[in-house]
Amino acid sequence: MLVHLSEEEFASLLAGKEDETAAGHLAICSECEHKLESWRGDLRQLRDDISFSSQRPSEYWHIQRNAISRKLEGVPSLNNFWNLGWTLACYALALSVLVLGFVNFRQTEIGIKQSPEINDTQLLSDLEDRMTEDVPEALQPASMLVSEMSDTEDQGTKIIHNEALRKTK
Amino acid sequence: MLDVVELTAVKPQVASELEDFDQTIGLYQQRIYRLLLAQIGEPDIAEDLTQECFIRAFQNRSRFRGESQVFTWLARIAINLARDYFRNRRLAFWRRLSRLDNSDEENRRAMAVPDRSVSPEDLVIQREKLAAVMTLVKQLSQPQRETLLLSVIEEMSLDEIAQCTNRRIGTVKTHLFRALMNLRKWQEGKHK
Repeated sequence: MLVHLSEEEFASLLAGKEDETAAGHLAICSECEHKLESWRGDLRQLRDDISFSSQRPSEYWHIQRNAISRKLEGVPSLNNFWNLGWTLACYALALSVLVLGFVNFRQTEIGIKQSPEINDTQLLSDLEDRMTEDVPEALQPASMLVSEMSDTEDQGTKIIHNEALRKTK
Repeated sequence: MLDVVELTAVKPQVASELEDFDQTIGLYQQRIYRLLLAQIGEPDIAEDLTQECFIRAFQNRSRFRGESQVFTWLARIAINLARDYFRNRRLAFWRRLSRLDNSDEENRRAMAVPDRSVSPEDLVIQREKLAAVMTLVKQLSQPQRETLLLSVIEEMSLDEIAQCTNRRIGTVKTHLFRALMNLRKWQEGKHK
């Protein structure tokens, strides 16, 4: 059974691609050959119509060419835009580095100013204070809790004692 | 002093580039115009876009590495311009619809100057032919239209069409065949 040309093969042939297998088939299959010729005819007609409708006198092309050239003289190249862009980007980078450097310098300066110098006598007095403390600094919250608890216990015993006195009276 | 030397060196370079590019315009302007006219169907717009195509090509000339032919590169720019045009036209349509005015279109029509370089008879025939082509081409989707026109009018190979439209060769083949099938169906329907 004769297998006709596929869609792809027709497309390739119409696009001008040479294919030996397809050419061999066309030599023996009049149906495909007729189909291909018919398509070629339609396309030729289309090409001729488009070519005819786009025909213009030579003056027209001359005027258009001059118009394009005139426009091109006034148009800066994109290369210039790229160069300008790169230059601006470099300037912006340099500026941002300077600004960041300045800000960083200011912050370190403030930081240094904020930490006051501690002299030896103050350090010594601080140390003495710490030495005189009953409870170390880390245990101070616990000692406060204990003292509060003992206060409440004392108050409770006082209340009980007073009530017992009232009863005996 | 250095600046003056640099400037005098740069100016003739640009001038010579412009001269070279002028030759490129002369070589390809008709083909680019034909391609755009076949896609858009409006001579005035095709003319504007042809100019824009060469301006963009000149602006981006440093990106052209000679890997493809000059015309393939120009056609790619033209295809992109046509795509932009259709996209913008759709947007403009919705904008006009939302504003409920068509003053832009009316202004454009009023500003249109008749082309006196072509005889009225030729102009009529040209318009008829163009209208016939556009009726046919409008049956196709955008990718099918691009592929068919590049193949038929410019006789580009599938590789070149793939480069121009930024699609794979297999996809180009499919679009081309579907375009042909659609045209065939439409013509058969017309004859019945």
